[in-house]
Amino acid sequence: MTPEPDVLERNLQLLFTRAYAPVRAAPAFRARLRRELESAIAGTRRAARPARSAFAVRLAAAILVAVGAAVLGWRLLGGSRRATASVEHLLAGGHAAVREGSSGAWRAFTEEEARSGVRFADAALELATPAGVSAHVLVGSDGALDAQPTSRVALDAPREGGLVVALQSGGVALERGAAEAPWRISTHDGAVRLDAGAIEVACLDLRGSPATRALLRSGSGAAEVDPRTDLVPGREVWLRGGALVLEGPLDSVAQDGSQRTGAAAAAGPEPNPAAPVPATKASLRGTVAVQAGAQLPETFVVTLLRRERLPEVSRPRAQEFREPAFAIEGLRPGRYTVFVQARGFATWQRNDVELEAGAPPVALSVVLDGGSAVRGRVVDRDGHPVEGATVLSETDTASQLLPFDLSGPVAPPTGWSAAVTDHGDGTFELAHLSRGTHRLRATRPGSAAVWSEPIDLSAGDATDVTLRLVEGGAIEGQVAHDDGTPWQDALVIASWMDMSTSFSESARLSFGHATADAQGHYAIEDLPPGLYVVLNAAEAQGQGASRVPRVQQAHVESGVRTRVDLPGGSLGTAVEGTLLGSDEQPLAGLDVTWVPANDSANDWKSTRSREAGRFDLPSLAPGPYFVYVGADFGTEFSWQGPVEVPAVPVFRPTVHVGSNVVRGVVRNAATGAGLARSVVVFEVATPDGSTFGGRTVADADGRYVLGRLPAARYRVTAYAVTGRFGQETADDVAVDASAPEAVRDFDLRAGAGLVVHVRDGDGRSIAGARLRFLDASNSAYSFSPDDRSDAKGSLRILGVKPGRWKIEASAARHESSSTTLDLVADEERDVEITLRSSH
Amino acid sequence: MVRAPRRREFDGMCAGSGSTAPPIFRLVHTNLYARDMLLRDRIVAGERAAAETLLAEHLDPLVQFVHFRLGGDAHGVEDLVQDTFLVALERMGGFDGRSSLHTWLCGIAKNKIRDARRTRRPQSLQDALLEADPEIEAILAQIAREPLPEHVLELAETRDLVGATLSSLPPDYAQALVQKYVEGRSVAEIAREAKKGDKAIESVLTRARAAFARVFELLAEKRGGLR
Repeated sequence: MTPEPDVLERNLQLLFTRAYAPVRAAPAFRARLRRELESAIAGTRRAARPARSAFAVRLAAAILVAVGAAVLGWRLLGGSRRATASVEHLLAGGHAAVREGSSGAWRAFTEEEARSGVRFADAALELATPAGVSAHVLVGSDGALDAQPTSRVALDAPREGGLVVALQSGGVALERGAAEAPWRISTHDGAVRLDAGAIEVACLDLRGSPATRALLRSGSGAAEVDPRTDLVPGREVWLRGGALVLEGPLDSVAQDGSQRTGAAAAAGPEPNPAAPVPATKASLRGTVAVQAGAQLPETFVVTLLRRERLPEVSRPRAQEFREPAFAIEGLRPGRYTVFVQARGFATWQRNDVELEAGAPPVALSVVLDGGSAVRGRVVDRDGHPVEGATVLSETDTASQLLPFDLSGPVAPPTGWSAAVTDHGDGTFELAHLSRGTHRLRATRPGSAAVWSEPIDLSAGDATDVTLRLVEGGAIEGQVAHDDGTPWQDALVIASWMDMSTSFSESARLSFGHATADAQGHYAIEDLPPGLYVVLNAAEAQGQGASRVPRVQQAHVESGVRTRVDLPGGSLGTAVEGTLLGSDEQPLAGLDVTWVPANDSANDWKSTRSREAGRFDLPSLAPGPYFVYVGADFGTEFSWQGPVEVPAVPVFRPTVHVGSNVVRGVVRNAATGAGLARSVVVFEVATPDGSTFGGRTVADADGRYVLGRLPAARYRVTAYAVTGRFGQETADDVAVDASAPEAVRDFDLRAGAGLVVHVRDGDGRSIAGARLRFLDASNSAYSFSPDDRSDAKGSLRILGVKPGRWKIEASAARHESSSTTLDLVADEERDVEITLRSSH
Repeated sequence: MVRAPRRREFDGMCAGSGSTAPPIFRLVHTNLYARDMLLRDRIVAGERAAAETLLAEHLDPLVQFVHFRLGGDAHGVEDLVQDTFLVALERMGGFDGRSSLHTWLCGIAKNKIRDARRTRRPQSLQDALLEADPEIEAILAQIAREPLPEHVLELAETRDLVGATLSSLPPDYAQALVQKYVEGRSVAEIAREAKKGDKAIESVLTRARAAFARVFELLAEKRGGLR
């Protein structure tokens, strides 16, 4: 039945004249409220200064190159049960402490608790973790809580059901392990309450007033945190720095209101055994053996590192075993790196172990051997021996386990391959390294970190390795809040961009950090030359700021102080944009990177879209930019197009993200086997030439996919990162609405290894020289994100396609030069380019 | 990376766009609520006088919104409205003008109403209507199709429904309806005061009538409740 206009008009007239009673605010209330609001508005500009926390450091570290500072709990949790002690005493001794009730006696975790978690039923529980130790708490039958290092948290299971988590400091992550309930909540301030019908997250800001509230109601499947937040069923909810982030499926949140945790679980309805329950956890098992003639170790430790999406920290999970057969249950599905360690043996390592929920456990067969040794010495720039330098193998040592600050002499991570030169002659020995190619790193205060060339230990020991420390550069600048006031105590972190996942065969990691003074000034010294990302870690906790710290790029040269202001120049344009899909739906959780179109190698900035697809950058210099979008910062970028940032105070663009896909596989042409972790680089035509169109990294089977591409023609090049293969290129890969997906496979053939050395007229190395590679058809190729010479004046390329190549070199204060050479398959070629001084 | 595209390639890439930018990438200014954004900027800048503007434009609509969702507890309504404004001021820097300020304020209030209802279970519209005659419900749900009987107009439940419906509409819709049907103003008078054209006001009224009818029917059928 359709509406009758006349009837509606008559009824409205009647209703408004006969049944309308206006509701208005009382005058007294209006006056009181006006005074209150005037006072509040006057105080609006008094910005709260976010406190710095260890968690911020860890978060930021993860953003940089996934090197979290979280250290293994198992190293310190192995202590036996102790008698009553003060919590300070326990924490000072490196022990996680626990007590029942708020007035009970503190005690250390027992060995068993360290292994399997703490179980508690009716009583409230308080726990405290020292630096470097995380704690795992089993909550009811299907939940778990992980407390970050240096956390203090109280857990209570009230009689009416549910669980109340009151976090006093540090950070916690809650995860429900039941098959039908894979929700996750992570926060580092405030309180979390879970009850039978809802999940409520109250996140307190630093002034103690409610800043974010999340209410996920059962039944309706809806949730509201902010009036502009679109929460829908099938998503996960994370809290980071007081902000809500939505990710992944939340099919769990209280489908029927019967989910209970904590003590309430026992009183809750029994699950229906007939109902199909999909598994959400994976497991791993294996056996450990030793080479013939060796004796099986008494104990060994299996450490798992799950690949997390930045900025999540990959938290190691370690477990000690005494029997040769081991099994680890209850793992989150995903891609893991597995380490097995035992005293007197080299670390056994397996990358890209894919664990699937509900699948049969992956079985590993581990064979330990004594490995090989490396002996050598560390010297300074003048060749004098250096005492107190830390040397470690980045090949055998999981970067996530390294202490955050490696600028000083640090205790090598227990159980991992590291040594300190302490004999006065600068010598060191790493006794049990795995048989393979290693990259060693030496660090010492006052010098920049230095790395060895790859050392091949497959044939035995290496005894003559010299690591020469070099002069570093510095990054300094000013840190300010978005309103321009100095940001005292801002924690600024500079990280060498990790190229390990792209073009070199092993990681080289470098960090530096500093705290801003009262004027907002900071300086980070002793950085090895290279391309860095710089960020203010305190942004992770800032109010109204981006939840993920915005990052900037800086190039560091030896002996040069590079200025990086955060968030940037004070006269730039504030960008407050929106990211939408081709279906006009907002896209949250994607990294949005702005690269100046004039000089794509420098000064890009990146942020992450939030709820409703919003993203912001407080200060961009006006001018032309290219915008890139990706779901895995540092690994995946998709070009979206050019945009001109106008010289206005606030610029509010809407970016429509492309929906096309290019996929394929990168194979060894000789064997047909997929080439794991190959890098696939896209170029796209623009009015001014072609430009970087995106990149992605292939999986363990060599399969790659890059989505979110706008309709365009791309030139796609695949590079192998293991073995000596030449790159291959596919021209004219077109995707558009009529053909939204293109498939291109690459078969890589043997290539040539190439090391380019750049020196000046006196034979001295030139660090930071820019190199350009042109093939016979004059097409340019990049072999790393930033083709420059390193601190030793060299750039090493694993594999180049055979043929004629022209290499151009240029550096500041020098005249450019080039050389041409013919490369053949399977050769290793060294080439030297000399640049004359321009003065 | 330096290979310049052939002209034909680039033309193909941009075909149909009429500009140098690929058609998939569009820039749209989304500042749809410029007036609200100006008020936001004044508040963020710490201008005390902005409080008066904020209250003049948003207090009564917000009081109505809360009143019909929280129940008749005047003190409770005032407390909640006050809390809503204070939270809004804290977050004002994050208001981006993609919704109206009224909608944004109502969103904050909704969260607080949910909290309040959990703890003290107020007399909600739904509760108030529980004892209403099912026949009335059926009658009210026909507002756009059947003339309303005389006795229905005298019921307290009907008054609540009218108020609740108005409080659910955008303030300019509610204002237009009140001006037209309560104050008896002509379209020309409303247009003159709003400094808009007659057609614009007629358009607002048409949409307001339709929205009122839809919400009224919905509330009548559902017997109130928080949407």
